[in-house]
Amino acid sequence: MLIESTARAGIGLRQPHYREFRARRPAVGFVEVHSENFFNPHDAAAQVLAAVRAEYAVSLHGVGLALGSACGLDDEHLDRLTALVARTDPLRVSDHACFARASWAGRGTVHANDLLPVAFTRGSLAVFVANVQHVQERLRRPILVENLSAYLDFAERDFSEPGFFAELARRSGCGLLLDVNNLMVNALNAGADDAQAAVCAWLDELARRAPPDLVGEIHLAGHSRQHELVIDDHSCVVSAPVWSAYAHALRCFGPRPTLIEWDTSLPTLDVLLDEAAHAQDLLDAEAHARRAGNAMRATHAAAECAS
Amino acid sequence: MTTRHAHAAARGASGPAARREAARQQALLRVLFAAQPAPAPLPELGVRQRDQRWSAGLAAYRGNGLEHAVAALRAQFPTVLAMLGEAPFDALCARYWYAYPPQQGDLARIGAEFPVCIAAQDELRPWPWLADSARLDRARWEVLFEAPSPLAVQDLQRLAECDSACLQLCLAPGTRLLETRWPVFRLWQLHQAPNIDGAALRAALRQPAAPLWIWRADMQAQCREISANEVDWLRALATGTRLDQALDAAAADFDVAAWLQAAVQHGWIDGVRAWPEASATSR
Repeated sequence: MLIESTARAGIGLRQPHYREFRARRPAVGFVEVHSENFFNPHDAAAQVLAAVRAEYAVSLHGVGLALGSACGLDDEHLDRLTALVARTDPLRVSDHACFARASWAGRGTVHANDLLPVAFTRGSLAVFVANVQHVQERLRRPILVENLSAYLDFAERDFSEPGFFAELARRSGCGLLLDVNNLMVNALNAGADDAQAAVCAWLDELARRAPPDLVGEIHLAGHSRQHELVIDDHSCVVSAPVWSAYAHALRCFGPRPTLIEWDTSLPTLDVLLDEAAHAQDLLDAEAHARRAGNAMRATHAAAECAS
Repeated sequence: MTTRHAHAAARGASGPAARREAARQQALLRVLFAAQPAPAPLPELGVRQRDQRWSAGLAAYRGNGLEHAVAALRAQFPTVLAMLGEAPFDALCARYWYAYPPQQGDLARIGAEFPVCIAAQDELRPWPWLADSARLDRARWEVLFEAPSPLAVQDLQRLAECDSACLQLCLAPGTRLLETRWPVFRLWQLHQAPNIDGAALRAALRQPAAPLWIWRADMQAQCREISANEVDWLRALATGTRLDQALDAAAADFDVAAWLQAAVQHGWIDGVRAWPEASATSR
């Protein structure tokens, strides 16, 4: 039986957990994998993904498309992603609102293999729209674009970050993969007096500007302070302020499929499952609150009609 | 950028604002891959951060990219890692990362020039077998990305029934021939042990070198030393020559029948094609 994923919590599946995950078959809503780790259709990882896909909904989360690269996309990379999507039939396909590629005199095009920040300008928006549309045409499906944690940003901007994503979605048809931890990291690094309030304000602005179904998935992860910066290193449990901001996001956008990401200092599978269970509790609570709210509104409407 | 996507980009994002972003991105990439980090941001970047905050942000990106590259290279070059030890290997990775910035967004693909980079390092000259050991590691890595051989029964029938002047044997993509001046296969074997036997290493280095044949076997890479006769034969096959010409290239005492038996067993060939059909499809 395929385990359903609608508005359920899932986990990022990483290589050290493959064996245990397949043996235990935990009841998570979906699993997410890094697309690039499965580009090779002929290796052992491909076999693992096929076996997992037979029992779970899978979302593919890329780190290498570099959708904001003004020099355009790497068609070979896109070819591999297209083939992986065809093999996997994923629930969702996503990548980041970053650039990584740029032409370099004498060296062709260099790819930094990192999630490098973009300026929220009209120029960047035009680049993103062209690249996202190109990907969606190839994949024949809309994709989700994830907001970044950024350690440098740019003075020049034509949009707020939520405004940028709302406009990108409107013009390209993509959705947003909302990473709440990234918002918290950015707020902390910006020196916000109340980082949680800053994140909630960001979410409120997005809710005002964007269509209600913009957010297709939510990411949660841990962060750590390293020297002068808070780094989005996915190395620990989700912090309490991020859980609170997540609950606010659910109130803004409704229950959305939610992923627990963990990439550094990977814990036991049970720790990941506990985090996913907590996310599921919040998803269920928000769904319950909405049902109760709808029932109350229906009761009021019926009473008004009767009177 | 390929022509196909150049057209797509030109349709959507080629105006002055997009060109300004292209310049900004080029400038940031140059800073990230500079051998020494820039003490202050370039004006064309237009970043808001200054002084320590600029240095910290830049260091976060430089450190992250390098950290992932080192992890990828450690996976690809386990023998070189075992030979050098972790700290010198990581330092070598850093030199490689800045000298050969990657061109693709898949870290599994970096490392193609790592052996060349090793050969260019003056301080590694006392260990001249390192570069060839890296080539062996790389070959073992590469074959795992190739499809297993799809050799069919009719291929073998064709081999038995047709004139060799009308055929071509096609090597499977998951095979590599490695010619070396060092006994790198023996060195590789010795570095599989958790505690490396120094005396055995010194003895191995006194042994003659032998070419290597590397292939994909199920989900693993396999490797063996081969004779000069086999090298001649494999070179001929690799160039896509006709089977009769490949047979002429092999030494008279080279046992082609035994090689074919092993090739079928291990998936070294992925097709027996008719000539001249083969000429249009040879690799």
